[in-house]
Amino acid sequence: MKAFSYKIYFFLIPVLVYQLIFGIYPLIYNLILSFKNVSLITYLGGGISQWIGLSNYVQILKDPVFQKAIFNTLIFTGLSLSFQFIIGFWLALLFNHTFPLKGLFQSLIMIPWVLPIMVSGSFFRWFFNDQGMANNFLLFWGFIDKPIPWITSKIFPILSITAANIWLGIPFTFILLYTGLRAIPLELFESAEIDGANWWQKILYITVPLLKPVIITILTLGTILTVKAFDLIWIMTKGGPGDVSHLFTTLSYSLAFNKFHFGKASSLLVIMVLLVVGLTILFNSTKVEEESSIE
Amino acid sequence: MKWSLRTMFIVMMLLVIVFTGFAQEKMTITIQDYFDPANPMGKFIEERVVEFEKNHSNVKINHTFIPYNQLLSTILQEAITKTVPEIIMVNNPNIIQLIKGGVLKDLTDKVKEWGWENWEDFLKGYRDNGSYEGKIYAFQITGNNLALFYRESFLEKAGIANPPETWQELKEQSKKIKEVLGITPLAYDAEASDEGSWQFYPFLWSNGGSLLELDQPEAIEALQFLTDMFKEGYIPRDVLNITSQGDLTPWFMNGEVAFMINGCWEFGWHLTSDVMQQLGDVKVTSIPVPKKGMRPIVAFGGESYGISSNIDPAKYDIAWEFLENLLSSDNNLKINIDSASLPTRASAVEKILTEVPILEPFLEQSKYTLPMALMGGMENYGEISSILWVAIQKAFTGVATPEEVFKEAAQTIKGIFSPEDYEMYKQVARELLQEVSKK
Amino acid sequence: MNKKQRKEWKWKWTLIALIPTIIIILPLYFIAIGGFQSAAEIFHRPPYWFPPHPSMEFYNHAWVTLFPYLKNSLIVALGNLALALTVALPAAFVLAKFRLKLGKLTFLILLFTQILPAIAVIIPLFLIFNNFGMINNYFSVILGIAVFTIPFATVILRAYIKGIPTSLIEAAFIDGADLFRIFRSIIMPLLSPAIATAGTLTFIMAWGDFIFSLSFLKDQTMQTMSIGIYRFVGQYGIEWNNLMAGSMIFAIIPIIVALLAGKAIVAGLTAGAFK
Repeated sequence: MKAFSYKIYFFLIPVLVYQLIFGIYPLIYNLILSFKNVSLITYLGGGISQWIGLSNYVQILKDPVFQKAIFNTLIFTGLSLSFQFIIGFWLALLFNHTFPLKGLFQSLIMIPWVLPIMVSGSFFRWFFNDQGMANNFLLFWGFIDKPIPWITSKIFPILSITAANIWLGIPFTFILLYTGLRAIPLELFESAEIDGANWWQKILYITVPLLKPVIITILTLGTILTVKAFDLIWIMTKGGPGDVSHLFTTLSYSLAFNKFHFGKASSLLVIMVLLVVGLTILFNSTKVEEESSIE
Repeated sequence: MKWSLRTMFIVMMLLVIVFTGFAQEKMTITIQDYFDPANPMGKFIEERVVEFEKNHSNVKINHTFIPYNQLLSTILQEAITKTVPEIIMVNNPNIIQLIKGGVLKDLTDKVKEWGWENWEDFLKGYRDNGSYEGKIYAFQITGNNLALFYRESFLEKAGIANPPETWQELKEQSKKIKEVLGITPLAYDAEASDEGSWQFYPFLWSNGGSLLELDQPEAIEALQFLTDMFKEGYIPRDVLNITSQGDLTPWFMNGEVAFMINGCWEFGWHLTSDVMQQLGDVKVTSIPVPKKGMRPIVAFGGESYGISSNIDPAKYDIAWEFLENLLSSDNNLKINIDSASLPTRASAVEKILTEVPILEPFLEQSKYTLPMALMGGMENYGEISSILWVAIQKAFTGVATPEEVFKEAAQTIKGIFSPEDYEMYKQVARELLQEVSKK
Repeated sequence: MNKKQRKEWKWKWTLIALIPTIIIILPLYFIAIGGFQSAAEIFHRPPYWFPPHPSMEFYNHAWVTLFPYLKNSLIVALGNLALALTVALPAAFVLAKFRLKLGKLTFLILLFTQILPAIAVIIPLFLIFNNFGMINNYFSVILGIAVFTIPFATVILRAYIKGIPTSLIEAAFIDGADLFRIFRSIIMPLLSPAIATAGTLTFIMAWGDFIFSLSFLKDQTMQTMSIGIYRFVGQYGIEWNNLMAGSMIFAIIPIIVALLAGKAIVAGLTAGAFK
């Protein structure tokens, strides 16, 4: 086994080095920026940005829009991941049978990930308009008598955006769970059936444990991708109306490119990174009953 | 073995020298903007490029297109890495920041050579916006502003003889149209972006208000008027989230609204001649004013070009030559015809009426337009604009009253400046407003 | 059950699967027909379920505009896919099956470096790449996108490799096989579904990349389709019909990739050690 050790590193080094250079440097860059007072003019080089320590962080934490953004990000991420997982899992179970046209349907389910967000985001904005499809449908069937302000009120926007995001993320959870499911040997299910297990027990005691690595990966990557979401929110509401639907990313972008507070924008990103880092460490420390690894 | 390696090496070096030599034979100048070559303004630039290359066989002009919403961030990246193209398009409100950031080259000497009368032929607002401390950095080549579009047949159906001239009339007519036709009559852009702010300026400035003094009654009245219109259901709620003013026009064309606040470019965009013929009743008038007899004071928009401060000195003369040609009075007229925009030179401005007569109200208003950046704290304009649109949206969605949101906004805005700077910018805005309000 | 009954039984699943599939692609339907309508028709209220006066004009214009970008998108996306998989597979193997201290650190770095959104990363990366004179070629875009796709693919593949019984690997050790041999002969064959999955997602990510292509490719002839689409987003507003038609064209290649990958996922599992 020891004889392998150096070869193992060969397998690992390319990725590590690559990410260290191209991944860590931007993190450091933003970190440094977050401690300075950077305006568009100084950023362009027409002056020196002053070092102001933690001042950006203090201002951000005091900002009520930031506090709203924390709340929004939690709701957005929590609901998105939960529903994406449930729907993706259900679809994966469904597609775990063979049937005609399955390949076609499977590739169509990837559509939410494939369409340019500019277009799918605009569709959902149109759908949730006061005069949009959702309200038309509800009004027509008499469920409501006045249009619901899905994206024009103080409270609904973040929920409507979350609904759109759930749609966006389904391909991701679906395909990962589906491939994982397909790797589970049929014999396991068959012998469980013989022992009298019903479908629910089969899922709980066979499927989920065997899918643990995939599930944790979905949670981890899903969290990262969801917290990073920017385009969808920007297209649907630009963080509004009146700043009610900002997430960390949109608020950071707004600070940078609307107000030209590049230092503050970076400090917000650093906070976001720390938050996600915390969450991912949490997810990945749950002791997955690891199959014996080597060495 | 060694001998053939050495030969190979020499041959390679020769090839490299030859190729780089060839590469340097033609001088390449890049002009970067957001004019899609498939659309009129882009086509116009491409034509000028072809023309210029024909007359200068050793020059290649590269017209690069970047998406509209990426303009500033692209220039930022380029500025930081010192890769700014020779000629760049700059957004109206950002010119002062690019000047102060050292991105644009001081072109005053070239203008002197060209002839001072050429510079002075550009209308005053554009000259103010493209220069700083007496030095010239950018030239605006297209202009536009906002006016009130309306469907004449809708007004007739509601028993209205003439389009509204005052805010009161706009409100009353909207009420009538809503009763008779059942539509939300006025399309006004209240999105969370610069377009949302800029739609507000006609109402703010015509009433004598200022961006730097939003807590004054003139500003609050303007917001109150629009908020009331919104709350009474005379403005569709969806205006809070549209992508741009261009999204208002399909509603207008579909007859879902009777009035629309939009810009002259629409006649080169959605409201083409066949659409106009099909609809048959599209008319334009100047933006309604607070009280009868007052003058509508609007902001001007449009595109400007400048030259990179990092330009290779060997390329400077040629780049200027190309730009100078673009700025000629004839071209100033031509570039604006197909896109229904306003020329920016006095010698060309009136001529557009023979080509695009419907621009008349816009032309009238353009005599009293103001530059947004100078009216809003210059390099701090971006931040002030974002505070404004958030306040408007808060008032519309009922988070607080117009008075409350503007008092809060004015506080925040004041806090951006040092007390002396604030006074100075406040004065600048007041003076500019007074000048155009003079009878 | 005879053959006919079995076939009917299978069609039942098709019908059941049809329902969520239709719900999911419903937006696609409206976008597809949007490409046949004028701007006013698209936003008509109530929305049209069928275009009233369908016109091929916009699909034509979109195709003519976007076709030149096709080759560039393919180069970038396929190049990135090749790079990502080549680098990610070995690393994922090691991360999945070996307990190394460096492994834990690497894994965390792989996660952390994905968190920043592309806009936050583009300026520092542009600085590095520009310093090495690597701007304005396909390679720089491929490398730029790889900053996100390499860790992404690695993490996904690692999860699937964890599912391969360690006993297989240990047995091969005992038989005297070296690391590379194990990797090639045991791991790889079992991984075609995982590779198909990670590959599809990676390809779609790279195909849809906008910011790296925009910033690193100054030459118009090298730009990708995701930028081409933005030709329809102008300073006066969006050309909705062209944009929608363009999106359909944009989506063709990734959907084909997903189709092919689907076959690979199914095919890969009839071979291998799971019998």
